[in-house]
Amino acid sequence: MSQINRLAEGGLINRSKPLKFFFDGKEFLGFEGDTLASALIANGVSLFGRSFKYHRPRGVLTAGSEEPNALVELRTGNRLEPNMRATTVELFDGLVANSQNRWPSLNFDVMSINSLFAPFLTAGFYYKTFMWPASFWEKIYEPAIRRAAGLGKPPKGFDPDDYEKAFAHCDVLVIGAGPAGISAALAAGRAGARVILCDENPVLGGRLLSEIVQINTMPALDWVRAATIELESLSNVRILRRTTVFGIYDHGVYGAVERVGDHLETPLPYGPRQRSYRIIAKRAILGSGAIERTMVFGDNDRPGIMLGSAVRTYVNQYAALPGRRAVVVLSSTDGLRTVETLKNQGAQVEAIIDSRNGDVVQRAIGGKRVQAVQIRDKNGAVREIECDLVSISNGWNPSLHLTCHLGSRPVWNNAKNAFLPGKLPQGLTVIGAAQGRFTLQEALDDGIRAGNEAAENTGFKPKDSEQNLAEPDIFEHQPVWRIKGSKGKCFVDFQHDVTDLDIELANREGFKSVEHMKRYTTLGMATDQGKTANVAGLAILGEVSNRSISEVGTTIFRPPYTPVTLGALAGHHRHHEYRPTRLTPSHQWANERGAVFMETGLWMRAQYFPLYSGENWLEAMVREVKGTRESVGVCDVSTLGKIDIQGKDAAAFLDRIYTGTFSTLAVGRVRYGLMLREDGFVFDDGTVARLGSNHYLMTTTTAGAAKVMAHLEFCHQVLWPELNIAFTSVTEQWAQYSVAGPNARHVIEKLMDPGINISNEAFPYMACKAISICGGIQARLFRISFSGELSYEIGVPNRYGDALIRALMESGQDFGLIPYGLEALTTMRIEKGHVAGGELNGQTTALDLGLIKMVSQKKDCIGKQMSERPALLEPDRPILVGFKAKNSHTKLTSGAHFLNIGANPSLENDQGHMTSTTFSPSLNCWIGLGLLKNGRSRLGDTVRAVDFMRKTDEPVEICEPVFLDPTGERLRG
Amino acid sequence: MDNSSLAPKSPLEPFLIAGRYGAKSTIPGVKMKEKHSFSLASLTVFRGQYENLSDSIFKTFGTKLLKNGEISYSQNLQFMNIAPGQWITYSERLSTSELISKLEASVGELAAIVDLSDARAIIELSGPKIYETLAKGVSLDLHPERQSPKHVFSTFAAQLSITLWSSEDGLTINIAVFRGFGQSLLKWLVASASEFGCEIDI
Repeated sequence: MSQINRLAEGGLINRSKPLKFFFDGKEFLGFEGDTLASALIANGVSLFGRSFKYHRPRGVLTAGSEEPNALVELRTGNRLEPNMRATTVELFDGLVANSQNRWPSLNFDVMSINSLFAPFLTAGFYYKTFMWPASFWEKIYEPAIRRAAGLGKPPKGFDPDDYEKAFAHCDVLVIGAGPAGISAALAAGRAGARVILCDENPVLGGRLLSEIVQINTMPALDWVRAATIELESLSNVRILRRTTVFGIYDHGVYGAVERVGDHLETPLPYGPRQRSYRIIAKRAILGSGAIERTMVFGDNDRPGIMLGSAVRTYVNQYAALPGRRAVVVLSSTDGLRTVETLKNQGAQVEAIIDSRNGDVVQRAIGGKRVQAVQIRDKNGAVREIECDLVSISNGWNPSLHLTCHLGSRPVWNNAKNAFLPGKLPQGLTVIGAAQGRFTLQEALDDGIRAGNEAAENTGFKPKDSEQNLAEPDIFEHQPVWRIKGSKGKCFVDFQHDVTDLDIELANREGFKSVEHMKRYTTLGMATDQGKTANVAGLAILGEVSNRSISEVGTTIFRPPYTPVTLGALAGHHRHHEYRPTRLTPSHQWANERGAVFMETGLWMRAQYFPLYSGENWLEAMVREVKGTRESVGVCDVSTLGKIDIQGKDAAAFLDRIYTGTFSTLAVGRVRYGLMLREDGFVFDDGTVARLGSNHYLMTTTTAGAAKVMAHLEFCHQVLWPELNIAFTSVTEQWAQYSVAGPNARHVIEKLMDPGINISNEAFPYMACKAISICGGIQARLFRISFSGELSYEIGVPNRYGDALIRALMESGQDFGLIPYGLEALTTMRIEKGHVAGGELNGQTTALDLGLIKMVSQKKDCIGKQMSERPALLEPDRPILVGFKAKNSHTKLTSGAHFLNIGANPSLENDQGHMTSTTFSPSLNCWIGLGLLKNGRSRLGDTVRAVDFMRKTDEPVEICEPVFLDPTGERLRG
Repeated sequence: MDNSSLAPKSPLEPFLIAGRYGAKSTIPGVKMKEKHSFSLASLTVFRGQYENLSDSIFKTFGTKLLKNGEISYSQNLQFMNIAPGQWITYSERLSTSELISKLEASVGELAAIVDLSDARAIIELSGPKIYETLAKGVSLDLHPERQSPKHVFSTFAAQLSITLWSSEDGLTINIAVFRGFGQSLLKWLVASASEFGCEIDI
C-alpha cells in the first residue's frame, strides 16, 4: 500500500524526506512532518485499535492530544510505551507501532465477542455481577476482567533513556501558540518582558496550520511564519515546542513537560528523552484553544467517523485525505469549512446533514469502516447514504482544564453553549477560544491585549501593535447532544466505552450527581480524561433528569492535562541516583579492601570487610568482633552527628536539652547524654564533650543528626531566644575513627606526636583533648566506647581522613588491627547493652530503657514533666532486658513478640517485643535486647520469642541487658 | 611507622577524572573544577552583638558585614551572609590557621567561629551554559539580569543542600555542598551539562 490517500500537493509535510515505518508489523511510507495517524490515513488505514470494554473496532476521531481511540504501543523492547496517541506521535524513520488490547490481531479480535454480551456489561456491571463468592474477586474475577479489558502493557525492563527536570522563570508564560498565544507572546515580548511560549506541537500556529484563512490579507501560514521568525529573534522570548503545560500550582508555578527526543527513534546523544519543567511565572496567558465536540448517535464510533476539525487538519496540514465519499454532519457554521476543504481536494460530499434544519444522523452502518449513514429528516423519513467518511462539527468546548487545577469550577454559558472558565488562578488570563471567543479576530485581539496587559503588570511598557485583521468570520452554533431514537450503541466516552444508556442507567439507579455519575459509569476517567466526552455526558444526564446543563454542573479537571511519564517527573533521580549518596572519609579505602556497604540513611557505610571471597556477613562479623575484643579493631564513626555549640549560655542550654547536667562537666571531659521529646519519650542520645568553658561538642546518632540540629534551633529560636548560643554542624568537618580493644592505646600512641600522654591516669575513661599526630596534624581524641572495650575516637580534619585510616592500619599492623563494619559494631553494642535505633524507637522512655538514673532530679529539662505521666510510670510497661536463645545457635529475630510459655498468640497475651538481636561471638549464642512487661522481675524466666513473619517460635531466657563486662573493667582498662 | 604528615585529600579527588564529557561541542558548555585550596569558616553572631561585630570586622578587614544574603569582599577574603546572623568567611589566599586566627583576633567573644574548611566540597563552574545547567536542579532565577553577583544563596540542587555564589566578576559560579555529598553533586552536574558538552579540569 503506498500512500493512496496522500494528496498530490499541499500540506506542511516534507515530501523530500520519506520515512519508513511499521504498524502491526506491516511496512508503510510517510513523510517528515506527518504524525503516525496522518501517515496511516495517507496509507489508507482506518482501523487503529480496539475499544476498552467491547473491543469494537476504532479509528481516529481527532487530530490532537484529545484523541480517545487511536492509542498504540510505540517502539519496542524497554523503550516501548503503551497508550500513545497516534495523533500526536511524530513520524520518524523506522518507527514501530502496534495496536493494543486485541488478540490475536487487530482485524480479528476474539474479545470482540464482548459486544454480544453488552446488555450484561453496563455501567457498574462488575459491582453487581462478581459478588459471590467474595474470595473469587481477588484471584479470579479481577484478573479476568483486567485481561479482558484494558489498555497497553508497559515494558518490564529498565528504561534506557535519560530524563531531566528543570526550572524556568519568566515574566509572562504563554500557554498555546495558536493565533491568540502567538499574538500575546509577540506583544509581551516586544515590550521587553521575559516570555516563555509553550506549545504541545512541534510547529507554532495551532489551528491556523489546518485552516485556509487569511490574516492581514495574507495566508495565515505566512503570518505564522513571520511571527515565528520575530519571536525567535527576540532574546527575551523562549519558545518551548513539543511542550505541554500540564498543571497549574500555587503561587504562579506551572508544570510542563517537553518531549525533547520523543520525535526521534532514540534521543540525541547526551540529550534527554523528556524534560519536565517547573515554570515560575509572574503572569500567565492561557491560549489553549478549544476541542471540537462529537455527536452521540447510533454506532458513532465506527472508523471513518471523525471530527470536522480533524478532517481539515489531515487534509490541509498533512495532505492526507481520510475519505473520498463524505457525509458532513454539522450543527454549526464550522462544518461548512470542512465541506469546502473536502471539495477543494476532489472528495465527493455526499450529503450535508445540518441539524439546525432538523436533519440528523441516527446510525452509522459498517464494521471496521463506516460504509453508510442512516439519515432521518425533519419529517421522520429515514434514508441511507453510502460514504466512507463522516465529518462531525458540533461546536467547541474551550480547553479550560488548567483553570480548574486550583479548585475553580467552570461556569456554563448559555450564549456560548459551552462551559467557560470560572474564577481564575491568580495571575492567569484566558484568551481566544479557551475563553469561548471562537472567531479568529477575537483570538488575535485577545492575544495582543493580554500580552500588553501582562507586560505592563510585570513592569514593562507595551509597544503599540497594529491590530491584526482576520478575514470576516462568524460562528453560529446550535448543539445537538444526542440523537434520540438512534439504533445501535451511542457512545459518549469512546475510550471507556460509556454509552448514553449507561448514563441513563446511572440516573435511574440514583447516581444523579455529576460526581456520582462520573464514578459509576467511568465517564471521563480514561487516559484522555473525557476531553471529547464530558460535556455530552453532562447534557444527557441533564436531559434524563430534567435539569439544564448548568443545573447538572460539571466535574473539574485535575493535573495533568495530558499523561506525563514518571521518568519526566523523576528526572535525574532514578536508579542509583534516586537519592543522593553520602560517603564517609574512609569510603575509598574501604572500597579498596572489598568492603560490603550498606545504606544507613543517605550514608554508605561499610557493613563488613570480607577477608576472602565468599565470607558472609556472619562469619566476617564474628571474626571482626573477636579480633577487636582480643586485640584491636577500627571503625569509621564519622557519620555520627557532630554539633559545635558555643556561647556563654551553652551550658545552661544543654542542661535544658538533656536529662543530665552538663554545666558541671569539666573541660576536657565527656558525658553521655539522653534527650527527650516534649512528650517525654526518648528522642536521641549521644555524648557531649566540653572543649572549653563556653564550647561544647555534641554527638548524635547518625540517623538523628539532622532532626537534633533542627530541634536545637527550634529550642533556641522559639523557646529560649534569650540564651546566647550558636550551633554549627561539624559532622563533615571531622573524620573520626573508633579504635577499640585491649591494644587500642598502643595503636593510637604510635601516631601521636611526642609529649602527649594518654595513659589511663593521664587520659582516663570519658576524657577528651586536642592533640597533634603524624607530625603536626591537629586532632581531637575522645576516650569513649560504644563497643565496651578500651576505646578511643580520634578525629582529624576531613582532608586527612583517608590518610589517617591508612596510617591507623599501618600503626596497628603489629597488633593485628582489623577494620570492622556495622555488623560488628552492632553486635558489640548489643553485647554491652547499649541502646540504639531499635530501642530508641520513639515509643520508649528513659525508665523503659533502664536509663532513669540519667534523668537528673535536680533540674528540669525538655520532656521531663511529660515523662512522669502516670501511664508512663506503670509497672507493667515493657522495659529493657536481655535475652539469650535457649538453643544457642538458633537465630533470634528483631520484631519477634514475647509470649509466656503456653499462651496463645493474641494481642492480650503479648508481653513485648525484641528490639535488637545478634549472634554473640563472646557468649557463643544468639542474644537480643527487648522490651518486656515486668522484665526486671522476670530475670531467669523463659518466654517465647514468636515471629510469624519469619515463622520462628523460640524459647529465650530473660537476662540482664548487659551481657559483657557489666562492671566496665574493659573500657576503663 | 613513618610519622610524617598525613597526605591531605580533597573531597572529589577520588572521583574527578579530567577530560571532556557529554556532547563533543567545539567549546564545552560548562567547565568544572574542584576548589582545592580554600579556607572556610562559619561566623555566627552572639545575641545583640551585630553592630560590634560589624565594626570589628570593618576595622580588621576593611569591609562591612552585610545582611540579606549579600557578599562583602576584602583583600583576602569574603563574608557571605547565609542566614540571619550567620556568615561564611571564605578565602582562597589565607590558610585555614591564618583565617581562623585572624577571625579570632578580630571577633573575640562577639561571635562563634567554626572552621569548616574540610566540611565542604566546592565545585567551580564556568562556560556559556552554566545557567542552563544549573536550571536543571536549582530553583532560583539565576538569570544574570535578575541576580547580582554579590549575592550568596543557601538553596537546594538535586535534593542536596547547597551554598551557591558567583565570583566577584560574575564569570564563574561556586557550589559548596557537604563534603560527603560531593560525588552526588558531581554526578548530577555532569549529567545536566552533558548535552552542552562539559570539561572537567583537575
